[in-house]
Amino acid sequence: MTSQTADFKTKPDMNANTQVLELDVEGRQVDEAVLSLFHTLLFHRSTGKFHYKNDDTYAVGTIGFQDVDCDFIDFTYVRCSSDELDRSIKREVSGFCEAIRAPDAPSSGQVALEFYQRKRGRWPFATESIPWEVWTLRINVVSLNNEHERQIWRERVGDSLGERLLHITDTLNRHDYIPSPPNQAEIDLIYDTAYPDVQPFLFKINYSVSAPTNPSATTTIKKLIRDTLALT
Amino acid sequence: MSGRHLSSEDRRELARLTKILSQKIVQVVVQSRLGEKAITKSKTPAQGSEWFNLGIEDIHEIQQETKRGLGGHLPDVGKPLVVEILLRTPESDSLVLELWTLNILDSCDTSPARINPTIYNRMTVLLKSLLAVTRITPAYKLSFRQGADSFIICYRVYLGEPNFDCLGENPVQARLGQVTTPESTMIMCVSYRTQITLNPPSRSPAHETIMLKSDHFKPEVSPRHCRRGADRGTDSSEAAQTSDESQDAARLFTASPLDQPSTPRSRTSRKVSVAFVDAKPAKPDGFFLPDIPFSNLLTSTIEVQQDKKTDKAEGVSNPSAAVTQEKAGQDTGERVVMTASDGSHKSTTSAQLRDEADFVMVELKTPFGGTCGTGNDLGAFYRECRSAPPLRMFADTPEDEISDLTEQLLSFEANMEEYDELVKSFHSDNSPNSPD
Repeated sequence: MTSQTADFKTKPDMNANTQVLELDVEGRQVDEAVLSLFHTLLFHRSTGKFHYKNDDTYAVGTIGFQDVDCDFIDFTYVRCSSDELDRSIKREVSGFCEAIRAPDAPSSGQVALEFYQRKRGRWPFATESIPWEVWTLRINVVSLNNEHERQIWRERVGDSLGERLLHITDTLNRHDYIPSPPNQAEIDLIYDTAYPDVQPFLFKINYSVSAPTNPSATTTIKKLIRDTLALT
Repeated sequence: MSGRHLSSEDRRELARLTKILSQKIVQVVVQSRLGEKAITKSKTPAQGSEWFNLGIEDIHEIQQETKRGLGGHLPDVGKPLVVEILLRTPESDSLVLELWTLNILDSCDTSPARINPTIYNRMTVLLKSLLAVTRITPAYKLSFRQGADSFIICYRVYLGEPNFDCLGENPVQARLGQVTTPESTMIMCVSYRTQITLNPPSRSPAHETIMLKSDHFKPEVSPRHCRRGADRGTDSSEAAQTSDESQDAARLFTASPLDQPSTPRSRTSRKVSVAFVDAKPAKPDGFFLPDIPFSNLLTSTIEVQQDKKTDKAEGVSNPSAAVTQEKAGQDTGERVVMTASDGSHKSTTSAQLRDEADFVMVELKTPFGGTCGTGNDLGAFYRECRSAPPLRMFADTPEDEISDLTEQLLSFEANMEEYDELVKSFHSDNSPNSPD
């Protein structure tokens, strides 16, 4: 049940699976909207801690999970039972939330959760990071006039998150590309082993806050840049 | 099922994983409808491992019910695994809220995917998706509002095509994800009701001539009877049938926190143990507070009927207990399992499940609306101030005034001569001055 043999696939797909989701939320809902989807993604993209018995045979720990109720959105999501992972994501996301809620900030921005794997470069090149799945949330901040509208929006954003979540689960179950379990020596190229209780795939969160532009153009340019960087 | 050739060992392993996946699917769906927030701890391998490396803690009663529902079979093409979530009122009207299905398709994965870890990991991802999606359907929120007085949520597990018509108008269907294996493709879907309104059901003309709750005092549907509960002791071979094909109708009521150990239940024993609670000694029947006034008048009738029907259920009288009840003589019997685990449920009610969905009674709790108790000071104050107080000038009672009048009249009569003389004196005084 627990012992598994590493089945290492050497080459990741160069074209990362890129998904863009768009959300209209009120300023105070931004944190919870982003966290709910990112936590859902990380719950899927985490595994129990590996304990290697020899180089390619290992036992896997258990991921606990917990329900989280949103305060400003009528929504409940499931996250990994790992306070450190939670703190880490919150820290990353809070920068985006503060930027988009700043008094003179534009009304939209995007925050991306990117899963990547490292590839050791030959000397003198450093290790490169190759993204294999990128989830971008385009957030449009709306302003509401009164409490009645807030109540409506509270439910509407909940429904909207539910739709996005279904899209996420359907996509994650399609098995486009997932790095294969590594040998012991290469586990840090695939997983973030810094957390004591769970082991997510290597990920990073980046964001940009900008004036509204054509989302498809933005995505294309970003993807071009990313692919170029990945190739170098 | 078709597919590439698998070694017998791989085939056996795949069947084993499919079976455990089915069991975990039922656990995840039903546990999400208990009306409790899930929280399980992450563990390192040294602390022990769980199936699919997920902290899904199995509940014994659900496990037993799943085994009965599967009947030793696995989901197959045309025979999906179905977990049906129902809402039931104390009047035993029921409403199907959701149908969670694991469908099997013939198309398969032709890639050289290994059962372990590849297929195993795909199943893990599917279970995670199920965990996430069970929180976003309307029934999740409803499950937190369960109560013995309003409604409780039940479930059924079976293999076979579900009836989607029971979800009312405009149901939503969504696909959570899929697992492709070398033998087949498993697709997890959910269909759920969007209209949970309190409309009375359309009934046949024969029903319309009778008042809505014409079955109110049927002994077998009275809450009193239901609380007595029953377990007829299902034969294991009988239980091997799928629930909806079974001739039995069984219900399991649970009403206790999950943290209490559940006791294993023997289906062949007439003594029924409790789901999700520790085995406490049964309390006397008189302990129950009747939900319906004078329902205790029906006791004798019930007992007589139970004596006559040997296969009729006998009960458990633990108010916080899970009760299994089976009703004999019902042609289209079904197995329904209650999931309410709200600690506030000190008693649960149940009754014969009718085929047609009925309206939902939602308990109306008006603020300040109570008629007794110490918490009604505000209501009393409001009633007191609702109209202006009476004026003080009307404070004296009329009786006093009437008695005063009588006394005055008597004194006037007594002094009548005096008054006459006074009048005469006026007359005589005036006469000298008259022109006469």
